[in-house]
Amino acid sequence: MSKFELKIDKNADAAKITIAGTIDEDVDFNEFSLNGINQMEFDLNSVKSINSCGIREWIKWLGTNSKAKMTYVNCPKIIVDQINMVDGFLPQNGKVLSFYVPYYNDDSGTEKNVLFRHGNEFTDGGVTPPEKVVDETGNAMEMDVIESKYFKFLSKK
Amino acid sequence: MKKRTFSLKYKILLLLTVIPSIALFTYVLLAMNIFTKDKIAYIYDSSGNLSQALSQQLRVLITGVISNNKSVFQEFVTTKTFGNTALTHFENENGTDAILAYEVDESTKQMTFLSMMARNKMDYDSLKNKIDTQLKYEVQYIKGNQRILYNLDQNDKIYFVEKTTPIAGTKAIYFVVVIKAEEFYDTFSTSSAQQLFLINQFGQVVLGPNQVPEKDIAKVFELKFLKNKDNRFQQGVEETIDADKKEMIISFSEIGFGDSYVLAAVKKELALSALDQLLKKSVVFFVLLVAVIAIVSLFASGSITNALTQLFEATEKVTQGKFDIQVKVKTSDEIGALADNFNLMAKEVSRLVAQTAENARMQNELQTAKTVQETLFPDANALLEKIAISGFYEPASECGGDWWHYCMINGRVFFWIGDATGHGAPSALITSAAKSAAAIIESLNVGPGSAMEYLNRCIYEVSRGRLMMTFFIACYDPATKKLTYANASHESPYLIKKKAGPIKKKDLIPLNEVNNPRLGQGRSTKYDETTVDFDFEDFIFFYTDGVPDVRNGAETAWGEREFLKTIVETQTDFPPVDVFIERFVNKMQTYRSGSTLVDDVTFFGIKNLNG
Repeated sequence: MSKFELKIDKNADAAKITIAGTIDEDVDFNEFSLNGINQMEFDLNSVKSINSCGIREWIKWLGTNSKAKMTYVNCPKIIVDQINMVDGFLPQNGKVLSFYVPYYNDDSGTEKNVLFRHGNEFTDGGVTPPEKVVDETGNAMEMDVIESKYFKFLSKK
Repeated sequence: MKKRTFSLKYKILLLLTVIPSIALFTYVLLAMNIFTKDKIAYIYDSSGNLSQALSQQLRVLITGVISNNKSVFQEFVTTKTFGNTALTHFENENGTDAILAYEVDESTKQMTFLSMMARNKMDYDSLKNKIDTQLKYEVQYIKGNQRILYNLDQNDKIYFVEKTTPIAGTKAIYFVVVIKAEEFYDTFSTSSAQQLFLINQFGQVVLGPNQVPEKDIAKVFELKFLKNKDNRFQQGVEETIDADKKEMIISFSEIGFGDSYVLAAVKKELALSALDQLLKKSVVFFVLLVAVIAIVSLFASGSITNALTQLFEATEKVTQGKFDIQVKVKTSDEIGALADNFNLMAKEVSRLVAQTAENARMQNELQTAKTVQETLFPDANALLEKIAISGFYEPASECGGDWWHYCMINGRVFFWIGDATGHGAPSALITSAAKSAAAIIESLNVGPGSAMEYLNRCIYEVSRGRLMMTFFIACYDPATKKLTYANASHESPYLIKKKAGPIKKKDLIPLNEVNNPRLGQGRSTKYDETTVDFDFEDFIFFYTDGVPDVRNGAETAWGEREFLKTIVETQTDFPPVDVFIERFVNKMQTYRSGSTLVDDVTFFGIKNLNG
């Protein structure tokens, strides 16, 4: 299990919060105060896993500064799944600026995560996926998610 | 347990006393042996010195007398009388007590008394007969110039005969010289610890201790050196026995006159009395020392074995199952450390036993809870209003946080599935609360959204935000063939519409049109509901997030891709719902290969048979 790490880079009332590892019941978010921060950007690129207890703690933590504007960047699939499934995982005033979409080639078994960025591959209203995604050998890859489920969070906003 | 035969206390006691005792005894033996040899050598030396010194003094005395009287002898041979010269000389010469002159015919051995010169002639009136007898013996049997010392009256007077060589045609003159040896007499007669003897060549005692009246030394001692008459040692020491069979040490020294010897005799027992005393004192000291060692050993072994005995008794109690004991050993040595470790061990064992008992009690309670929780779940297979239902549930531990359920409410079929935060007993309690709430809700004529709100209120009141639950409630109305559902952040079930030909992943329709917070997150959360068509032979798969998280032996999760692929492959021929579940379970268990679940696994499928 990956060790949990959290780093807050404050700049005036804004902060970039980088999180890595596993978010579970052992994580004590109380160590990291969000007070005084009006704008937060969570970089979740290195989050490896999150369980139901971790989700509870996460929502509780973000609730300590619910007025702040929050953005999620570099969200891996496990985060997107939680955003879709758990109401409140992405706060009402939160927004996803970029997230990964897994691609897969069934023949070669290759996998690839493609970063979808707000304004490029997706907007608040919908998704404009790349026309073609290929692996390192040029094989065409298909999206490894159920689109109606994976991109559901985009239609909520 | 083996019977104890010989206590460690006595072994230590034996060890501490026997080894020093043996060492001490050996030392005493060796020391006594060396001391005895040294003592005997000392006695030999001192006794030899005494006899040698006395013999030298006697030789000086006798030869001095002879030398001093030579002029007297010469004058008498010439004048046949003791003249003035002789008398003057006699007056000045203290060693000589008397001189008796005899004329002896060597051929006939006839002897004639000629004259006598004595300091006290009265003394010799009674002695003369003895002197005559002795001289007669010498004239008869003693040849050559042999000189013999003798004592005729057991007093301080020593006799010997000085011969003159006769001139042709004359008879020989024999002088019987009497020496008054008062000092020697006192020395010899009063000797006690060391008896002194002056013996002549025949072994006759000339001077000796008063307490030994024997005249013949052979009757006093058996002396080997006297037996060799032709080649006697001049001096030496020999050990022999006396008439009483007592061991004696005899030193002898020839005085150089008439083959006479001075003997210094001492009883070996007496000579070695100091040794004997030393031995006795050593034995007493030895016994005292052994006693002290024994007493000290008794205390030492006692202090050691007392602690060990305490430990032994403590271990016996442990074997009887009494772990709440502590050994009170105050020593800070290895035994003290052993006792401390024992106490720690006993304490730890006691704690572990208590913990084991507590674990057993908790395990028992968990088993009871599991039994109770199993009653919360419905039959795995059912048919309600032509809706075929089949499900599977396996908790990750004795009790699980998943729950699923179905029921009929006012002609509608309700489906419930939820997943409490975490798993185990706390989560199971929440599922129990959910089941209780559901039982009440079943009596109300409400839809999934309202049911979810009631359920949320219940969970919130029970857990107060500490535990939450994702939940999905669906309601099928056979009259309209529509399915209404509400979702509290639960995994969206997949609807698979009946179609011709094989189905694909894109045919999986997630029921995710509505979604609201988890149960227990907020007290008054509102839950939206929506409706979808659920037609003849349509299929819906409900599940909890533990299903795609099933791990194999390599701890690799099954994953969403394989999970969805399995649904598609298993459902592709639209089998009966129980067959689908059976196939799905088999594939999941094949992947799992007996590995432990990391989360509770719950899923069920429903198929509409209402044509």
